[in-house]
Amino acid sequence: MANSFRLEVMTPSKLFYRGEVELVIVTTLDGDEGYMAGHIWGCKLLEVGELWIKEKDAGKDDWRVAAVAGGFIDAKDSVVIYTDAVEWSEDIDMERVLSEKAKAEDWIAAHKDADEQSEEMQNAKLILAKAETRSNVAEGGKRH
Amino acid sequence: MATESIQDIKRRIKSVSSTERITNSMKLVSAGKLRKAKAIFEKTNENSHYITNTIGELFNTGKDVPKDYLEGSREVKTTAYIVVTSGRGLCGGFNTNIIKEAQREIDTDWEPPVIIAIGSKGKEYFEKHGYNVHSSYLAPPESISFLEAKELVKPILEMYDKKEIDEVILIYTSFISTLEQEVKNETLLPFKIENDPELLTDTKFIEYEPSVEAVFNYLIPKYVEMKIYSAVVESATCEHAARRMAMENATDNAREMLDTLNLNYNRARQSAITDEIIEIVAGSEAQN
Repeated sequence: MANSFRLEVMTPSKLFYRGEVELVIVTTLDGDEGYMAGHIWGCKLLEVGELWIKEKDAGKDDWRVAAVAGGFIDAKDSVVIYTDAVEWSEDIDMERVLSEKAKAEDWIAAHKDADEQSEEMQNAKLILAKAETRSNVAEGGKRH
Repeated sequence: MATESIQDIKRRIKSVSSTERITNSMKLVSAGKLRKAKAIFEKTNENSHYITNTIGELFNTGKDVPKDYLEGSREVKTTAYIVVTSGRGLCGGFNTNIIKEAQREIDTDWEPPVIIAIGSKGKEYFEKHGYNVHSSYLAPPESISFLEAKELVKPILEMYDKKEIDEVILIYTSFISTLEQEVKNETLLPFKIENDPELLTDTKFIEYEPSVEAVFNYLIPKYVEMKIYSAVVESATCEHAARRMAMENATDNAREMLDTLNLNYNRARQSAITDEIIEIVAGSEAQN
């Protein structure tokens, strides 16, 4: 299988991942999208969601999963994913995630009448979405 | 006379040697901090260059960049300057160089500038000289997080969108080596397209999702955030390097001064002893 390409995942402070991969699946704003070698060039925004990587010469069900806090994917001959924060499923600190989740839920419950479009509300929802994604990813992600 | 000057010299030796001790330990402290800051800087530098390059490349290849952010889209009247200085002094010409460059840039403008100061030294200077400092970030720059940089950028972009400012210039110190730093000024917005023929021949059809505007509306703030974040990290590294150099020079000077003072002290002491011996000899001779 020579059908692999180079994938880089970057955050502002570090290079999170670099390697030859066969398939990468990301959550764009319009839904999940998989990229293989030779994909059409694209530049897409990512939703808070899961990142699935199948490395070159990996087994059929051998995926690496990470939680991504939004960002963008720049797909050319090689693919670069840029995100503000990303974590491998095995590195996620469940305790912290759960406490953040609880906090966001409490906030939303306490501010039921708040304007849906207000910045705080959007922020709280974003935190909630991130926490949910991370707890899902920690449990193996939605493809398991 | 002689005893007084001996005392004077002694006092001076004491004060210079305590200064030497302070500068020397400050030198060691900033050497340690420099090492730490340099490690962070090198890590971010590689990535941030990569990210800004990727975004820059997209700007260059894409013909679909919103016109508002491109050079020549509007007349430049008000300029915002982001001046990155340090929060602490004792770092040689570090802050002076930055402020001088900023002042030179500001003097070329007709309209009053909008100043965003990172680091208290720049803020103090511009406030003292009667400029309106729009906003500032005063915590030590080496500990800035990307999130904080993001918060800093938000009002700038809002002002740019509202056309309250027409240009954003970043002035910071760029790190060449531990011995050499250079003041740089970079125009962040409007974005200048370099019509690099090599890049343009490479254009293929690029899919944007959800839409071109959405993608660029996300990328442009990101680009500015990234630039500012990496500039602050870089400037922190420079600050420590500059301080280490300044302190090293101060320590050397103090040591040199101590040497001469010690010599003078010994001379004065010797001449006092000689005087006393002469007196004794003269006294005993008079008795005989």
